[in-house]
Amino acid sequence: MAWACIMPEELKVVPRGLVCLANLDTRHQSVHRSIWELLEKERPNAPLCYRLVDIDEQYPHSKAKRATYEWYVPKGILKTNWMHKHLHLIPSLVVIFFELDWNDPLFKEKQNELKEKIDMVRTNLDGRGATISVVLLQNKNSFPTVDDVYSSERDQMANTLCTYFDIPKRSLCVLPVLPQPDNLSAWIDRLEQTFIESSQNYYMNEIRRVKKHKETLNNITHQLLHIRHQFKVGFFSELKQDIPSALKAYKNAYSYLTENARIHDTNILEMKMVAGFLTYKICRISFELSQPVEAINHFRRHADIFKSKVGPVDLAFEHKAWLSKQFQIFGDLFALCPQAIQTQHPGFYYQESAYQSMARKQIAQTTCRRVEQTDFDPSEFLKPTEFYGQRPWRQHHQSMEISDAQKEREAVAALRDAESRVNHSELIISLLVLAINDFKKHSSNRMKLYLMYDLAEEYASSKDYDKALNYYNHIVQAYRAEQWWPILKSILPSALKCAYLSANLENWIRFSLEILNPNVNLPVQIKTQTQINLENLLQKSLPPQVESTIPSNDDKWKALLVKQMISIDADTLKGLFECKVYFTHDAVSVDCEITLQVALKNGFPLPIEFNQLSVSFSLKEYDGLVCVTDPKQLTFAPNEQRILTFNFNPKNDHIQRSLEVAYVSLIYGNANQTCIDLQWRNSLHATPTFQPTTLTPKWRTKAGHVLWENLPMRRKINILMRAAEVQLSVEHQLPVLLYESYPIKIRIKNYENVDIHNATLTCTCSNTDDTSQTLDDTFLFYSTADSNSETTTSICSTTLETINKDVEIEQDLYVRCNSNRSREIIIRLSYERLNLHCMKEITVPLSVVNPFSIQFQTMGMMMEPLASLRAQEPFILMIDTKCTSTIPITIVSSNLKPSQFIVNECAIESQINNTQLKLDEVVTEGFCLRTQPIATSVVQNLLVGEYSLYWKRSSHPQIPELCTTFSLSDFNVEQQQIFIEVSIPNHVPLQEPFQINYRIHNRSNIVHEYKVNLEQINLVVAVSGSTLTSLLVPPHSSSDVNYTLVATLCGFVQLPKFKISMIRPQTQEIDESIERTLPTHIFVVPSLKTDQ
Amino acid sequence: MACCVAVLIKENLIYLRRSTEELKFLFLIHASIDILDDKVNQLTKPGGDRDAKDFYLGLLYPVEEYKIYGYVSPTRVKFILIFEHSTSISLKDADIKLLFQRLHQAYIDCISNPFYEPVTQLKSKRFEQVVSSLMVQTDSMASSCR
Repeated sequence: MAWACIMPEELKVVPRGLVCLANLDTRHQSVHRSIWELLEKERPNAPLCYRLVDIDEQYPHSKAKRATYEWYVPKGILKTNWMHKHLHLIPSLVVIFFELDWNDPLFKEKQNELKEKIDMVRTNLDGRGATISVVLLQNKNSFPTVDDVYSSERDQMANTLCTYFDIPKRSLCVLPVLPQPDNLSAWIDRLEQTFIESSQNYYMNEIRRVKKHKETLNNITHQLLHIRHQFKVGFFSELKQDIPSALKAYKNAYSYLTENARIHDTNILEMKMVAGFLTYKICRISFELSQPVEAINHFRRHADIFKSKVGPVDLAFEHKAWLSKQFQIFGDLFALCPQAIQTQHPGFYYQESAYQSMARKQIAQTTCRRVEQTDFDPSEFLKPTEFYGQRPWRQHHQSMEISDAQKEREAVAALRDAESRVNHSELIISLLVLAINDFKKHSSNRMKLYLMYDLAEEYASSKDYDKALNYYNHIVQAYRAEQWWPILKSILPSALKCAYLSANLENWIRFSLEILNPNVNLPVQIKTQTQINLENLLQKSLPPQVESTIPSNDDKWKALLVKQMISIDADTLKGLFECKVYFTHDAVSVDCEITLQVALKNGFPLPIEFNQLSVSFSLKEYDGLVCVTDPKQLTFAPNEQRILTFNFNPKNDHIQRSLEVAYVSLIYGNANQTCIDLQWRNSLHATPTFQPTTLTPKWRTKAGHVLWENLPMRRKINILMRAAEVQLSVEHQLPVLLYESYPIKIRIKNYENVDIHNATLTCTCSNTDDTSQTLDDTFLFYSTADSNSETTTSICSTTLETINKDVEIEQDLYVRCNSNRSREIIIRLSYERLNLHCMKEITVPLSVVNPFSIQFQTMGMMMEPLASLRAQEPFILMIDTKCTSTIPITIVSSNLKPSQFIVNECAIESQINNTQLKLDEVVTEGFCLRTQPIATSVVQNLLVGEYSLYWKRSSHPQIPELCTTFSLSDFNVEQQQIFIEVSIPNHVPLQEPFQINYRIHNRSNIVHEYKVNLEQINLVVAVSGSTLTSLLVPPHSSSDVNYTLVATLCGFVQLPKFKISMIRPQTQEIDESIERTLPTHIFVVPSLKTDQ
Repeated sequence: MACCVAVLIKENLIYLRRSTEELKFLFLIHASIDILDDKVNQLTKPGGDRDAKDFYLGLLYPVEEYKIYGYVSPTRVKFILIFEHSTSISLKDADIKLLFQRLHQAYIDCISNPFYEPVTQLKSKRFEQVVSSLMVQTDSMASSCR
């Protein structure tokens, strides 16, 4: 094994200060065992490493320390045993456990016994600087209580003991743990603190000692010592748990090595190895301190510096091995760091490590061969060495020249021999697998493919064809899916070779088909050979022909060729052989033929003859209907495309179902032998959502020739009921008016070539508004005579006896809607023809509106608006009817029916008979009414009467009119105290006196006395006689005041103002509003021409 | 010296030119799609710099022998340049960005041709010339820097 790959275990462990525990009888004493177990317990960041030793343990001898290095030439950098020595053999502290109570009766004897032990350890340490500590195990009962901890007596004894043992006072500890310990772990923690202190002291002294040498070193002969000392400082610092100092020392060593040290062919391995060790330490510490960037940068530099330092050309493989190892261990270190990201993770380093190993393998395969017979012993050259990285045959050699060329040649041969025995593939594969895992973890699937390719090649080269095929399969699929043909082109031939060698028929066929794909740009002869091989195999059962360089595998292949069908997912062939299926129509009626077209496009480089084409459907009854075995139809020239057309009838019981193409199967090869079954399934689905539309449209290029891209894809057909050969139409005029019998005229024309008998016409209402559940506000009927019968519902049906050929019949339909919702009426005509059910259906959407709106108001006799009615006084009721529908309506008549509280002043008769209203037109009628006396002074919500309108749509006079009734309510009535009734002529002649009579009604229960005055405003109307008078009116009666007036001007002239005011009772006032009920003007006409 | 120039739309390679017929380049370009996609997604995440007109994505991932740089146009056309490790040391990010911008411009000129069908191989003499100049010029740039 190449030396370069050695990574000593001692380097990899985290150094911890070594503490030797002596005189602990863990086997027989349970207390001792508990102490040992607590100390040795696995802990994260344990500061010390404990070792049980016998009291007479021999420690490594210390060499005589050199006072000066002046004449010393170092033999190498780092001894192979140095780290081991300091990790496991040389303690920083020896702890002697001893059971001794202060008040032990045999104190003196035991003290002496202990002294002997201490002396023995001290002798064995042989000048090493390790401290000796003594731990006295005492009975916990004899341990001082808090009060006398510092008892001077005990102190005195301890001091005496320390002096006697010749140890510092700090090194004496007491553990009160006998016979059974209480809370031992707390004691042990405290004990350990003192151990740590002693141990770190020791290492600090060691560091000081090493550093002291530095001044005595020079830079010419002592280069190696510089490095060695810095390494030692670093290592001791680690043992001391002083990590930052350790990192600094290692970095110093590294920079000294790379910047100052002479590196030449004879010592390059040593230098590289030590540099590798230092790099390992630096990177590990950086990662542990969560400075991954630091670690990566250092490693990058390291790799850059040493990549070019190949060393002796004969041993180039060694360099590659070393590089590979460097990358690998960095990858291992990185893998422990959680901060990896997609562009920086261990996978890259494992990958590079694998590539270096591949390079190593290649060099090894070309330069290294086994040494069969020699006159020298190869193992002689592979012995372990004293220093890391030195050559066994010339250890301690420091000069640049090689002294013994013959020996060097033998050594190279021996190393090459050893190299040739290395299983490189195994190494490479394990590295690649590591790398793949990391790339997978960091979602770099494409990078993973690259590595899988390397892995497949490596498996193939180590003749593990099955595994290689696995990977080839995966990557070929992936690259094909992304249509990276150039990569496929390079991969496929080796994949095919691999499939041949492992005699994997299915994969061989698959890869052959991939190679034949026109997108794969391989030389023609390879393609033709591949197709010939495929044809020979399937049609003639001949094993494939291969290049002479590949070992023949015919025997295995012959055994493979039995009757079998290999299914190939043809969707993946992309371009090699394409298939499109389409039904000529989306839907077919059950009495017609289904036409299915299968388009095939050949991309095989040579003509090819298939054996069978069949199409499978979602409905099993149709399987087998589409099947071709005719070789003429199934022979394709290169780039030929052909459309095969199939016709078949749908089955009666599949009405309302859809027929779908499940898959197309194309069989190549004899069915009795090996054959392949190309199946198209997924590619038959609808074309991808986004297809780049080309700017230049692709037209038919020649008559009869269709471009493949223009062929549609339609794998689904719906089987429908036979379409009725009738024309169904409706005639109506929207909108529908609320409550009316809305007329729809249905026209049915028979286009069948015979008469239709017993056709059923069914009309139903479907809710367009899903939220309302009630259907019972729509009524359908065929004749207006039915309109009010109880039987009308939301569905109506009739049977039409005979519809003669080419004859159009009409049928009226009336729809009454009792709400404003919009809705749909479905009109369906169905009948039997040729034993097939035929149906025609249309849907009529309806929108419903209110036909008109009414408004009413009340007025006084002077046409002044009244907020409330006055009891027993006459008033006028005005009713406005406004048309709100877009179609004209006709008001046939109207009727007002007064209620019991109202008397009519004159006969009530409609004033708006036969009025036609268009949109937004208003018709008004007025009625003069009087309220009955009321019981209380105010009555609210008095019902005045009911108003009915008789109307219909103007377009359909034959439909009976509808009556819509409104209730006139919500009137308020007030009782007034006084009411003045005025009698005045309608018009008076000029200059002729006329009478005006004011009748004043007192409606109260007491006697009223009024002052009445007719105030002369101008002389246009003159009053004769006195104008001012007083008037006494008893309760519930009336008095008259008469005036005689003369008009002096023609026209609508103002009357003198009638004023009334209350004399008695004084508390009451007359409402001023009464003035508004009095006439203010009169019409004066010229005097009549008399015959005089 | 740029030893490989590639243009991709989604994962379709629409242009490739390499100094040697090495399969490795193809794998490297293919593998860098992962990283390009990821970086673009990060940039276009809410809070990312959406307004940036184009993205120079810098060094994509570490490979020993080559340096792979990526650039994405506003319509997510990916441009990849691969340099040999030894020659690219002297190249600064700004230089490379400039190269990418020239390539991008050439691409725009090329696809402005009404007869070019989108997402098909770029076949244009002008574009080839620009690519050649990129491959040669960077060489001279590198040498002048030395």
